[in-house]
Amino acid sequence: MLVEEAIDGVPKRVNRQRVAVVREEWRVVDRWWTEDPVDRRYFDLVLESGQLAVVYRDGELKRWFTQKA
Amino acid sequence: MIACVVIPGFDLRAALRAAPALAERPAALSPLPGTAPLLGPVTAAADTAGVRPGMRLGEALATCPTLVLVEQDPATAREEWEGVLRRLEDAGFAVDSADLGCVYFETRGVERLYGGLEAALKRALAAVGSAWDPRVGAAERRFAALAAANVARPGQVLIVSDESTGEFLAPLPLSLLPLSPERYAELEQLGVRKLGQLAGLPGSAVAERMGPDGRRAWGLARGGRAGRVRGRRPPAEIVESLEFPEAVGNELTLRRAFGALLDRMLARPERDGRFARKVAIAARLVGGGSWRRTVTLRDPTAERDRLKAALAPKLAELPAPVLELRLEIVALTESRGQQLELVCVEGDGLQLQLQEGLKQVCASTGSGSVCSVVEVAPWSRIPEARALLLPRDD
Repeated sequence: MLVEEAIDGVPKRVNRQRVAVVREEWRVVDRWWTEDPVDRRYFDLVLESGQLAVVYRDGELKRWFTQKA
Repeated sequence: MIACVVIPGFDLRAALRAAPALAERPAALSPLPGTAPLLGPVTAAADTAGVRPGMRLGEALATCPTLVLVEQDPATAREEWEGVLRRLEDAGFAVDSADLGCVYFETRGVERLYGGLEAALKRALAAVGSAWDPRVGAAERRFAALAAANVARPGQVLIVSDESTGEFLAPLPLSLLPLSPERYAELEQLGVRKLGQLAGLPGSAVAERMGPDGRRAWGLARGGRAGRVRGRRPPAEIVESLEFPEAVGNELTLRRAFGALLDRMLARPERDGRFARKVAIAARLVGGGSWRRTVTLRDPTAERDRLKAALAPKLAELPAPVLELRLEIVALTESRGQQLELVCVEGDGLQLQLQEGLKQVCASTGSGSVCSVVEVAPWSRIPEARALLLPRDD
């Protein structure tokens, strides 16, 4: 997935589509006591085409992912 | 605990069974034709002479001019390995073969049978046979068991408790990790040479620099995940072979021999009317090598023509004249008949068909390839934690 982010880490473009609105932003930090800790910064977005997308930046892997579930 | 039996250089040892005198001389497994000219495992004498596994052929021959190159014999290696697995199974161990020369099993079920963990592991070594120089390691985690087996001396049992896993792994070399040569080189350049050094780095930094492979290696360097070992389902054993008085390269003769073998195999009483799910054709080649191809049939069958159509084209791939041709049924179905459908099946019939299809997928792709999705925490904020995939081999 291709995400361009602003300096504050908020997505500007997702798969070359401009982000129209950031509806919500939240953070999930979990399982820090295991070998697979979860550290994610989520964004609930509306893209310029009207499409909804939930993406997150994985703090462990330093990569962007999309979440469909 | 999880135990791991390792036989280093199994391919070479299996190939040397035909020429045991070479085991005392500098010898190495030659690369397969068409692959990079890099040596496989080497004998102790070759190691003493400075030849190392993975060395370039030219460099190895320059280092040790008396080095004997042993041709790879995959069919013999597979046969010998199957023998090792069966001996372990006969001794009561539910084995999970990782590769030729490396097998895992759970000790929990057999500890009481043999009077303790160590006694059970010694029984496993005895079942493998001292001729193979096996070594066994046991730990609560799979990777730690593998590392212990790699560190143990031939015939030695090495048990690592869960509390001492980190301490045990720390001084071991990175070569135990399943990494590509480029990754090893990258870590060496960074001054990371031991598992303990890698485990001491922050996981996120390793992931950022080396990606998911590096993150996985980092997890293993810290002991790896605790998990269970699932014993394999022993394969069926219907084998027919035909030895030729002299090497045969003529495809017509080979096809006739194949036809005769097929008839003999289908007539075997052990088959008991069941269908073949997975079949293999193997050959011992002139010059000492061997060749093997496995085919999983789209639908299980006992029809001669369909089996012939699936396997006979493989004969054209034979790289050299053949001294012995073998035909094997690797997996059989449980069913003995197939009813054609007049109406669309529903209910139990559909369930049976589905199970049959899944078994076919398992035969084709190996154990653990078919899983059930079990919902464990539907409320979780992390989508991948909401359900688990449980392997189904039943």
